[in-house]
Amino acid sequence: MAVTQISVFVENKPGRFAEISTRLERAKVKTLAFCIADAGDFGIIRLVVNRPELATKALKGFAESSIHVIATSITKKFSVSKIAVLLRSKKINIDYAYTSTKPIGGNPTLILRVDDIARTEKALKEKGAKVLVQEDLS
Amino acid sequence: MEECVIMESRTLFYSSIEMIDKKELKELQLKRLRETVQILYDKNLYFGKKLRQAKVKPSDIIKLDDLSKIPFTTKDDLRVNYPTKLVNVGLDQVVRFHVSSGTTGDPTVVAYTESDIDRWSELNARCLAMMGVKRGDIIQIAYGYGLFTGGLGIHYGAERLGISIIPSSAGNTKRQIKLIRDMHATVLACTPSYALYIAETAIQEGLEPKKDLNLRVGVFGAEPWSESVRKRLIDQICPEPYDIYGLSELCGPGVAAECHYRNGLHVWADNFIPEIIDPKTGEVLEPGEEGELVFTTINKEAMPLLRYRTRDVSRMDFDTCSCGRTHPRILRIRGRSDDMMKIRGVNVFPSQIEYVLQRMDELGDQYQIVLTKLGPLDDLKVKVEVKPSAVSDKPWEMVGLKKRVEDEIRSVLNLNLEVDLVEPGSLPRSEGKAKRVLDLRGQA
Ligand SMILES: [Zn+2]
Repeated sequence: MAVTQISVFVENKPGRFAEISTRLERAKVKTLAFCIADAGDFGIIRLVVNRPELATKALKGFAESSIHVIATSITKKFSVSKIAVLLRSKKINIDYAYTSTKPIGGNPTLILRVDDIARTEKALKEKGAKVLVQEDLS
Repeated sequence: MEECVIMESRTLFYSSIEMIDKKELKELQLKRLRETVQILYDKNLYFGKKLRQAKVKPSDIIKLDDLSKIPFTTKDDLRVNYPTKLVNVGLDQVVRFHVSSGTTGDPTVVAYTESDIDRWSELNARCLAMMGVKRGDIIQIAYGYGLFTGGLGIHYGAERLGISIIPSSAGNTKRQIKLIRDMHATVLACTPSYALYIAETAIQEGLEPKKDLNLRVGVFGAEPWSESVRKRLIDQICPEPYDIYGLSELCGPGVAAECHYRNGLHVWADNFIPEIIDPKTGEVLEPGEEGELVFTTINKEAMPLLRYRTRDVSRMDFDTCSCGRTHPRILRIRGRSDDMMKIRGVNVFPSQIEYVLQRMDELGDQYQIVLTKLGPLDDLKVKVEVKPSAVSDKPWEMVGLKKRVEDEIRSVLNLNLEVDLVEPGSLPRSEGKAKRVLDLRGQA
């Protein structure tokens, strides 16, 4: 379950994000959500895309790695704060979160990085929230 | 047990002189030293004058220790005598000139007679045999051929041993890989940094160098390298990487090399007398002490050199090696005294930084040391490429990696340095000697 997030190591200098997004575009990979985490001289670009294998190929030469993250639809019933409160009630810590650049399956989507993916997924699903899988992104 | 099996399958020795009795070796050295001093005293205008000025007569050389009475020779002596004033035979007897570019100033010329080439070939044959290279092996020589001595020196040794040679010379990395693969080369000779670059390129082409290439032995020299680089070479390209040492001024490669015990490089002491001196005072140091390597050639015709200062920093071990060779060993070259950087009062060699970087699995093979000025003081920064496996989605974990590298350098060098993690492929690659130090001190 869950979806793949690609993390790319980049030096903090002009043009690195342009290089990455151009390469993905050329490989016809759709970027659905991204966020740039800066750490001074370098940063990590986190990407959720429709075709992770294709993206990894397109980013050949970059130092990158993949992990699983939770993608959950933001709806009237499950607003960002509702989701946060829900996770707090289960004592699930959020390392970081960001949102999609466009609606996925009709809804904006919250990307969550948590330690225990299975427990988070269970908590969300129990209350009826929609948790996306990689196939939902293609 | 495994060690024994390896030993039996090896041509361990090219010549019985490699196991010469130590006393006999000393007698031979003294005899050849006296001949060399005599011939330079009589025939060489420049060295003859130098000896007279130092009030040294050939008859003063009675025992090996008397070598210390003789003045040193430096690269400057070679430069001021450019191009051929130091040649000690008629120019019609010279069959070869090699020229080293010299990073600063005039180039230096080294001349060889036919017999010099012959002896040089034998020394390289000894080195290769010592590494377990034998008939049936195919060696790809990716050192530059030409004015540089690397390519031809190893070539002659391989020819003498009677093994198949692919003289690929340096450069065109993709073709190098194709040839190693198609020709089933078992031995690769090049700089260690180029070997790692070949492995990196092979991986980029979708190959697994250790599986898809058939390399067994690496003859890696022309730049100092550390044990952690050895580990990388074993992991990435060949199971048996050996260090080979030489200087174009002495002949080129083949002055010394490692046997399979890899506990220092055996110097062919029937051809060269090694000494370790204090680079400041010129005094000869005790065995085991670290200092500048100095060589006297005692078996050369065209251009013998007395007490040539190499600028390389090392130590000597005179104990007989487990392999049975009696020739003394120079321990790994720590670096050139020219490369030694003084940072906030601490002496630093690039090789020490390399040692730290290359034993950390998260870091790639490429690094660069950037020297800058911080006010009136020299400052130093290290750039190192990260491996994909080191990438975390959490940048603070990568900051942690940077800190760990800095801590590690601090504990080894006793120095606070800034480390920059950079993207793979962002630092310059080299097909010959790697340029690890970028000096920006002139640019304020
Ligand atoms: Zn040995």
